[in-house]
Amino acid sequence: MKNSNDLKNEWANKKPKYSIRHKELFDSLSQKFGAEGDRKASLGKHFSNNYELYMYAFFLGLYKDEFEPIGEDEEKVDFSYPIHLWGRKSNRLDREDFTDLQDYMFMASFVKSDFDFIELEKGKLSIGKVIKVITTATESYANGGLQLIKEMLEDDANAFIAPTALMNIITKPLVTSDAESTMQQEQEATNVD
Amino acid sequence: MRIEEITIENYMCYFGRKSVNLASGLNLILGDNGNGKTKFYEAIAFLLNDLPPSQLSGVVSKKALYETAPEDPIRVGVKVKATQFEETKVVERYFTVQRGQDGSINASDTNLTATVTHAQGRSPANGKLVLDQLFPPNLRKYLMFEGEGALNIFNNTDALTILIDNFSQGKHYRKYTDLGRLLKKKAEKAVDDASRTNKKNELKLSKAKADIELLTSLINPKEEELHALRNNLTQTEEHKAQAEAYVANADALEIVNKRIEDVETKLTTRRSQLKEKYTSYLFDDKWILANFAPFQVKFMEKVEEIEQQKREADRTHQREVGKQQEREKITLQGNRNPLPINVPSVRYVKEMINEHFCKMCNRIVEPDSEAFRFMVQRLEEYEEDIRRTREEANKNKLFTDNYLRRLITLTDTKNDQGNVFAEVKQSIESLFNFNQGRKTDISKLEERLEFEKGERNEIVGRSQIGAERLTTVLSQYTRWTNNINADKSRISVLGESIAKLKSERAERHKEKDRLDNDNVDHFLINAQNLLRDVEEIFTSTEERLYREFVEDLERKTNEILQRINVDSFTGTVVFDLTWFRGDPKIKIRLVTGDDEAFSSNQSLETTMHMAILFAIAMLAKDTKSESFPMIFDAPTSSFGEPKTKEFLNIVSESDQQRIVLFYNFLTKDENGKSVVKSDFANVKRNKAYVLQLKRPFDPQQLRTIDTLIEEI
Repeated sequence: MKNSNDLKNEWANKKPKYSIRHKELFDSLSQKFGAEGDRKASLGKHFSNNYELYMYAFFLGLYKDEFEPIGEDEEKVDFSYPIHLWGRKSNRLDREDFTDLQDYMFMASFVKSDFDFIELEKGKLSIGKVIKVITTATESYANGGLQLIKEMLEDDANAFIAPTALMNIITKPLVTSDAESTMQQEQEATNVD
Repeated sequence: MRIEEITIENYMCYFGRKSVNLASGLNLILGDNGNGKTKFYEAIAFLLNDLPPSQLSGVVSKKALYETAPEDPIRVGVKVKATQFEETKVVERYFTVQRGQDGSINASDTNLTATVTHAQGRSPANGKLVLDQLFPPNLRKYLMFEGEGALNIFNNTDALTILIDNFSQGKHYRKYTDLGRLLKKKAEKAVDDASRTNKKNELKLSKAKADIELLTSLINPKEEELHALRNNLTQTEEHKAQAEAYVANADALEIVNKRIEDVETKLTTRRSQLKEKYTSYLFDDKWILANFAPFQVKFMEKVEEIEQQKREADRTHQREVGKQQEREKITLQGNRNPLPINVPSVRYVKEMINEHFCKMCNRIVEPDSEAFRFMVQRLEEYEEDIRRTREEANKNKLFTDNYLRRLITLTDTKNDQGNVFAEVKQSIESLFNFNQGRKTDISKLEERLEFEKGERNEIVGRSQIGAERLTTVLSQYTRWTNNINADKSRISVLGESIAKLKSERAERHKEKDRLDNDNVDHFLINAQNLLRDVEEIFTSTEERLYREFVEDLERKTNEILQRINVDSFTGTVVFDLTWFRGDPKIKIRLVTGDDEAFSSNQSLETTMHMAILFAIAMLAKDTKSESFPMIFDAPTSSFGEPKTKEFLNIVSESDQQRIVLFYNFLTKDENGKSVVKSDFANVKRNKAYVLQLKRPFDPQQLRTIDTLIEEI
């Protein structure tokens, strides 16, 4: 099969995994095979399906800088749904297509992936290995996010009850590195004086 | 007829023989509940109506049964002694019971016996005959009334007609009217028969008769319809009057219900406008990217870095394979890395050369300038580069893949999409502001809804019926009003139609009479005309007497009604007398001064019916018809004591015998014994008794119960 020379597509064909210890989060927070609107609410689910929770956990781990590779000795599971299908509108009423969120997940995973790109271009590094590195980055951010979610619920079982809870957590502005260095500079100036 | 004495023997709570002597005018029998008041009334009812054998043992005094030895007979009976047309008549209904050794009770059949005492002495008489003389069966329901509700006998329109029929002078003319009608009919038939035998004018006569029959066949159903419509109209007006009490509230309720509906509709709209699927918006509206901006920058930087590395590596490689010279045809100042050969593309380079203008640095490029030569050289190199064969181009190629190209495309795509992250933040803020606005509206609407519901509760609370019934009443009221208008309109049309038809028929009659006159012997015609006149006289006299009686009745009823309900609104009782097929029909209405029907309360309703009864009795006396006593059991339940007192005072003014059993004007002493209140002294009456249970007695044991009758 001809190489598509498209890292993103190759990555999107994968089914990223999560640690089995987070399975109960998927069971309690999301609805396998999908649920929307009143049905979702009546089932007590926050996410319409498993991959939404996974994406949420990914971005949460990304923003909170919680990059946690899944342990070698941990059992890994996936939900049998490759990334390229995540966010398709298909027959979901009242929902929009959000497949382009895959681009952003890829971009963030790529940034965190450490491999010799020139060797890849030269054909001296296999695409399979590269995709594995990128996918591992994806899984690590998601794992970090899932761990954070678990800890939040352990602290407060009603942490996600409010309709805006999940939104507030992930859209809360980050403290940027620029802001940090400004604060550090001010601190140093004070010390000099 | 006047009752002199009532004797009750071993009947219910009356042990042994108990008698009351009664006077003309008002006789009052006071009794607390459970002291024998209703049993007194029922005893008289037993005398009048008898009881089935299976019920006889149930009315025997338990005390008599207990105190009489087994097998000894116990006499149970009710006797009335009355004066009628200067004769003294005694009628009694009685039976005997025996208590068996085993406790069983055997009752005999009842016997109805009577004696009549007149100038010649006393003699036995037929019990039923005497009873019917004293209490005519057709009048009994107008003489005895158990409870206040029984007084509403005139809700049945026939009842009033029957009663008036019995007492008005018009009734005396009834037989003459009927006779006159019959004679007229016979005379008309004789003329008719005689006329038919005469062939002269046969055709015209046939036609006249046929026309009369046809017109009569048209008139009759219309008259029936008119009669039914009038009945219906009266009933509908009564319903409307009853509903009227609630309509004012129902109107207000309808208004407030409309306001509530309006607010609820607005609330539903506002609530539906809220957009609170925040978790879904994270994905659908890309809110999840709110903090992604720095990561996109990092990606772009990494791609750029890789691109630089790749170009450097390629340049180095090309130098190594000896294409340096060709490659260095173009060098940049400071030995900088040239851009890739296809940047800008050949199309844009050609465009800039043709226009003599560099669109990268925004400067005119003169054809003989170094910059122009640079552009031309680049173009030539590029064209030469693409002219090379793939094989030559692939020879010594450093990179076998080009994953970078798609990464660059991804970067460019994201750049071209603009500042999606700022848009996300704006979208979040905008939605929250929108929702906040809606929530503020919702809050205000909810407040208003509370207020309106409070108003509604107040309206419903003021009404005697619930909100649902009020709404039903209003819709019915509207329907009734429409029906009344439709009925009145139809009655008017029918009336006109009937009048026209009757007029036509009268013309035909005249025509027929003229022909008869021509055909028949004058003697017969004169006889017919005479009998017609006689019938007309009797009929009009009967109707006039009825009308006069009813007018007097109406006047008298209203006098009595206003006296009973002194200082209260009573309205006016109106008697509507109509004739249908020779029979009087009377309806009563209670109207306001504007002749509008209104709904009365129970108390007014009762006094209206009693006023009618008393008025009839008074008029009957005036016309020297026989009067009968009236017996009332607790007729004033809904009256207060002042009104009861006033009512009794009015009743006492008539010397017609009234026997009233009631529980007012009694109180209890420290031993529980009934005591007559002091203000009873102000109640005018001719006789008064109080019923008391003989003490001591065991309230759990009927065999200890014995009612005493004490004169006050």
